[in-house]
Amino acid sequence: MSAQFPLILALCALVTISVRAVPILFLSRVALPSLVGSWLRFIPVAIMAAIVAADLMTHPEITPSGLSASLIAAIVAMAAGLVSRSLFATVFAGVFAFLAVQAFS
Amino acid sequence: MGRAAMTTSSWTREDLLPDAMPTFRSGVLACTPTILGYWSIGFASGAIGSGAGFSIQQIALLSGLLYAGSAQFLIYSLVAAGAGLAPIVLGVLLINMRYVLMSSYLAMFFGEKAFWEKLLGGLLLTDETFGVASEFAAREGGLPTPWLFGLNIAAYVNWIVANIAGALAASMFSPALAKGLNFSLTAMFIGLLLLAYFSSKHQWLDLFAALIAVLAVALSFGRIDINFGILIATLIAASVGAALYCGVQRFQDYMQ
Repeated sequence: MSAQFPLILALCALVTISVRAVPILFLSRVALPSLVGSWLRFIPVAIMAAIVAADLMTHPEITPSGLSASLIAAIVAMAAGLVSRSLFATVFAGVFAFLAVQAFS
Repeated sequence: MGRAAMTTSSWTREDLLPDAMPTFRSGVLACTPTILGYWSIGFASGAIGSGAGFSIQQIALLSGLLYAGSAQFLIYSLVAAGAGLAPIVLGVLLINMRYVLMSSYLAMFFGEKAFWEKLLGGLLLTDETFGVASEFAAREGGLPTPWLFGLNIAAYVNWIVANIAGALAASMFSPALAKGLNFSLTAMFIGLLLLAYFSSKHQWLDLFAALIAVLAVALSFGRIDINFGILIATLIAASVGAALYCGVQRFQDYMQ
């Protein structure tokens, strides 16, 4: 493994750097068609919703009583975010609810 | 350091960019909701790498040059399973394909920036910094370079330090607390989604796109790899959102 490590590191870093930097480098001065623009406009919401769903599916953290601690904490976080409109309050309420559900069920 | 102390030189960096330091600091502050999550995942990642037989130096190099949690996890597990070079590199490419979408979206805020600003802005892109930066850009209409660097450098430093700390002290956290801290990233994305929704001009379209993405991930779960599922779900949801958006525009034009 240690013999191959430099090659693995170099190729994986190259791949990661390319997917991150190439679009910003080459698309930033291109006038995109309005359809592409409105498509990109939905990327943040779509990708974040997909990540949340994937987190909840892959790490449900089922308690002994059969509840998903992640799902309950996600609902609490969403409620806290809707009321407070604060990122910090959302994160703290979510983590607190997660730990509370795991401790008391 | 006061401004008076600098008047001896003819000009300073601060004269060129009078708001650079406060803007940089507010970028660092914008990173703080993600730091709990970076630490829990970075710590776990370092510990797993150490358990898979990687040295501290190798873990530090991977976290500094790859700077991608899921790709690092993938390398640790594939190398431990004895996989060859090709599947590892292909796996890292697939797991990171979503950055193409994030980078393409952010590109519109880099039009006036220099090459090195674009390069650094791209290199330091992660799921978490994308969430924070896209919300800021949509709200403020731009991404000031000092702000973006504050955000990115805070995230980068925390990630590497957490990885090294995890590798050094592999089993110090209780598993329950580690999972709770892990959940902070999920909660952060929920918060960022809500902020995006509050500031959106087309709330029902955004809500619909988010629901489509959730549905697509749920339907693909267990059938295809979850990272691939996230990618497909994003493509479908953005396409449906854009199609509806264009349809609504046409309809409004037609009615007038």
